Amino acid sequence: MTMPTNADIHTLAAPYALHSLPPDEATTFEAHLGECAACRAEVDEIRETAARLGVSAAVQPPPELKEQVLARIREVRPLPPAGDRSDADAETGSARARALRRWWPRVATGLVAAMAAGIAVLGVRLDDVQEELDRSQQIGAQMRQLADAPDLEMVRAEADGSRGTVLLSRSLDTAVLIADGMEPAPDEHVYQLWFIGDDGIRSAGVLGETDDGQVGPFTAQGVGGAGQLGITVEPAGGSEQPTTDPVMVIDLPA
Amino acid sequence: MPALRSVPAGEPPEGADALGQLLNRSARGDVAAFERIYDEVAGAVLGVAIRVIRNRAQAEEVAQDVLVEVWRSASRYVPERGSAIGWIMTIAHRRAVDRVRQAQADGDRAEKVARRDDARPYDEVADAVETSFEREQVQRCLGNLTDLQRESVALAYYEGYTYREVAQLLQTPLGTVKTRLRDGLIRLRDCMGLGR
Repeated sequence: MTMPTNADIHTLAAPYALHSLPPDEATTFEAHLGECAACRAEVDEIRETAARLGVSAAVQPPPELKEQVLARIREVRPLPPAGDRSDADAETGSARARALRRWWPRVATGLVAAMAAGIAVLGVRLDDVQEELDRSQQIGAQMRQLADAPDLEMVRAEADGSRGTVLLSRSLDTAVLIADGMEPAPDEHVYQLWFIGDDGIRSAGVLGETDDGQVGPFTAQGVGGAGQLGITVEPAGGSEQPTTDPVMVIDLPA
Repeated sequence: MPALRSVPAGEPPEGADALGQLLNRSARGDVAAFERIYDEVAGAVLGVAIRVIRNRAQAEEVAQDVLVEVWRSASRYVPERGSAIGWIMTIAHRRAVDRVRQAQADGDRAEKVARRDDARPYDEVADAVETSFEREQVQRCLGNLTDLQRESVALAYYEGYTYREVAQLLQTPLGTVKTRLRDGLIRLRDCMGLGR
């Protein structure tokens, strides 16, 4: 059997959503789903469409079916919500894991672990910041002001082949994000940036389209006490709260 | 620099439709709520099982299992990921497909032959409930697809074949089938007004 190459694997979202993958390929694709927010969005969307195909096949159920089902459920206890299980990920006590659990209670244990391992803060050096600013093609007045801020810090993070650079000044309550290696958001979807803190998740704004894999520089104000920035794929126009798992989470310096 | 478009902060999206709220109550053990869910979805759950499995008795068994599963795992429905009916039909379709694949794996040739002999076009289910707006819409939208798109979607969804089997049945390259499935479903989505 020929297994799909990596570039190919995104095209398996449709057959996966229709339960049309052979078991071995379904397993491979599920592993990929954990790290491909765009694929998850596509699978959810296709299932929604497929559901209509199913509903249109509705028949009149025989009355005894209801009796049988109602008799059976009397002996079945409904499961508690997934978040209330004493999950294996309870053992990872880091702030990031806790923030993620609050944010995405349904996030798979394995995914949390993979993300925690895959994201590395690469260093914070001021001359790097200057270099990054020089490389940016569009430096606004806001960013120049930022460059002069006494508490300017830079964080770089990598996740799943994409890299994010954040310039942060808590005194100016401002963060600037530049990300590259990003795939374009799927049709009718956008990337959205979030401030993640102990007080919850706040939108930091909807990111513009990717240009050759690059997003930003994107200036987000209102950092407040946020400890992290997160990027998710959201339906066009953005969401009030994240609706998908993050494609990138960046720890912010205190 | 991209402008910062503000998105109102607040509570998580209220996306829970009426069915979703019933699931919520059902998860807390509310049998009356579950009965309403049953009345709403049992016909569709049984319908998709019959389409995929063909054998009526087996389809009723699977439908029963699916509906008990809905009761058991109602708390696991996540409104942010889609509608309640989408969640329920996903369970129903997966269980139905699992049943035919299992039969296939068991080498139940009689079963397979029966399925093929019994082959009928997708729009002629004998005991279909009366024509509804939804059914008409789906038929119309399927009609808008190219033949290859429609056949790929129907063989994968309604007949429960793997995309590799679909490619063999249609004597079409694998890559083409994947693309047709995807394009077909996107077209269906747009036609049904499900775009988000």
